[in-house]
Amino acid sequence: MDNEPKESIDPRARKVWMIGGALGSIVIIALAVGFYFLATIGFEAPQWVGWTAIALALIYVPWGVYFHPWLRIRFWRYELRANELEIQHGIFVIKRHLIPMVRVQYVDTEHGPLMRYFGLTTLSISTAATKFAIPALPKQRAEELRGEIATLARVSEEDV
Amino acid sequence: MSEFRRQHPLLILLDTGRGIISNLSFALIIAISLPDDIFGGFIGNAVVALLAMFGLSALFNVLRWYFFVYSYEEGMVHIRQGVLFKRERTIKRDRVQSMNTNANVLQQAFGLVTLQIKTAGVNVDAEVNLRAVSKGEAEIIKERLYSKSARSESEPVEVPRAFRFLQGRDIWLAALTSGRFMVLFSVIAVIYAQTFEYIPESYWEWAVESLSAIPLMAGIGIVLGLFFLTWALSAVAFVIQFANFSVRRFEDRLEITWGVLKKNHVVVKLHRVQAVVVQQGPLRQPFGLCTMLIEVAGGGAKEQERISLLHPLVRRREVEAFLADILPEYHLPLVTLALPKRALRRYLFRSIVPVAVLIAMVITAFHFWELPYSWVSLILLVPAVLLGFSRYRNGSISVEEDQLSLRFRYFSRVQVLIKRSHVQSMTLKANPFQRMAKLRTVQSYFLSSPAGKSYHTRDLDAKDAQTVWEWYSRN
Repeated sequence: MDNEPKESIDPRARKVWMIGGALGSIVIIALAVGFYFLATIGFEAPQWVGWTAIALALIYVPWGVYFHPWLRIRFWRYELRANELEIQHGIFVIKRHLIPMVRVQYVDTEHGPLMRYFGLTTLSISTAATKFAIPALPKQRAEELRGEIATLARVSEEDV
Repeated sequence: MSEFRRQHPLLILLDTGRGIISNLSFALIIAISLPDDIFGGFIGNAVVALLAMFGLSALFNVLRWYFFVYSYEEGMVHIRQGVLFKRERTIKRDRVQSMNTNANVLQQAFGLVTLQIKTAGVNVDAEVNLRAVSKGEAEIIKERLYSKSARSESEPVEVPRAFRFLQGRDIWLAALTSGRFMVLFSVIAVIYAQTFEYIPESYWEWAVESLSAIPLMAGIGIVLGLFFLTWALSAVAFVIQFANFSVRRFEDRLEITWGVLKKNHVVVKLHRVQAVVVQQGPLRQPFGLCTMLIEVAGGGAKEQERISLLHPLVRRREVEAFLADILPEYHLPLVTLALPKRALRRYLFRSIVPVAVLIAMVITAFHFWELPYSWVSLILLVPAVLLGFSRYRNGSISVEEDQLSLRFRYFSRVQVLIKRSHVQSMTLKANPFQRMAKLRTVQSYFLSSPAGKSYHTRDLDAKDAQTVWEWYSRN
């Protein structure tokens, strides 16, 4: 879509997502191998049933580890203006959200251990009806944004 | 603080009566599982089990009634409840979003009502249900909780600015076009499906034989007769439910009342109205009839508490006048942005695909069991195409002043009117095919507790979507 919001998210996010995807892949492969033994030895199913599960798990690996993080960061954009926040994301279906500051009810920052290691933070913004998140902002930027949004949200007082 | 009081003891009877059906089935299960010789056979077991269940639930309800006390004073209501785990709650005037009363036949006989006090907040539990208080007391509590400012403006006797009733021919018109007979029909179908396996096979054989003896026309006649019977029954039920319907507009609120057997009185403060919905079911649209609904914030979790019926039957050409009287804050849009021609393809695709999958399954199944006439299922494509075309024709969007209007059809045609200040956030969506065709889906979220809700129009021209986007943008 045209007129994309200006700012991209931190490129380190890709690393975080790649590591996350790799960890996810390990779990999925482990599950598939488990399924292989359970199906072939436990239930004496034909060999190909187990191999199909393992093949599907292996197909997931490049998607989870490489393509998904890459495509995800490719379309991630946000822009904070005086009265509103615009967020764009998506891989196949591209979604663009417009959140007026007057509608913002809470702004939170949160980060998991992996994100913390890379110095990244997720900023989440809630209105009365919806919740949005900007994943993987540098810690300092996230805190600035949280402050800015909180101030901007307080300024105007339209009725809900 | 005024003293604590209990609700009317009739509540014990109401609660015990309400549990009777589940108790009955539970007692039957116990009776079946008990050995025959304990209380003299199955019947004896059933009676003893039922009495025991009944006694237990009565005891529990007595305790619950005994430990539920409330008191009220100017501006607040206190509740203390719980047999083992005590819970205490105070509701203050400024947290109150709405107060409703209703009364079923039994309550009416004793001059009692159910008073529901709803408060703002996501916590669904944050509300009070007094289910057996006298009518007069309910009025006093409501009086104490009404905000001072709203009351002083409109004293001594408040006259509504406008009102509408539903009576005479109209209520029957509404009843006959409500489409509820389909629900009743499906209920009958479910009962049939549940009891199916308990009917002895010999009976079935007899039924099939005697049915095939009846000429085809008579068979069709029986089905049609059943159909009209359920239709008539549901219409009567509708009339009883919505008899004496009235909606009154006061300066700061709407008051809606309806019902004979169960009298309902709903007060909706104006600032809680988040959207107006004009709905035309497939049975109503040909006659130019609509149902008016309002989406309300700060209700409960159940759908009937979030969506209030504003009026069961308004003629399409009178909607504008109705709004001007009852809710002049909203209006029907004058100019709407229709969908571009290239969107039609996508609408047809969406309505045809599920039907095509169904047809493929039917044909495969028929082929598998070697049944003839599988091609008849292709007829389903006709309504699918018509539906897709109608959805395309009815999709539109409009922004005028501070109001967003969306129109779309799923099965009913729905027009939603939302104020800009009630749109919590807006989303534009486009999948790769939409991007190629320069089409966008516009989705707007608003508050309809406990969580948000959204309405969307699909496949708008990207330029029109941009117009809406810019209307919503504050920069």
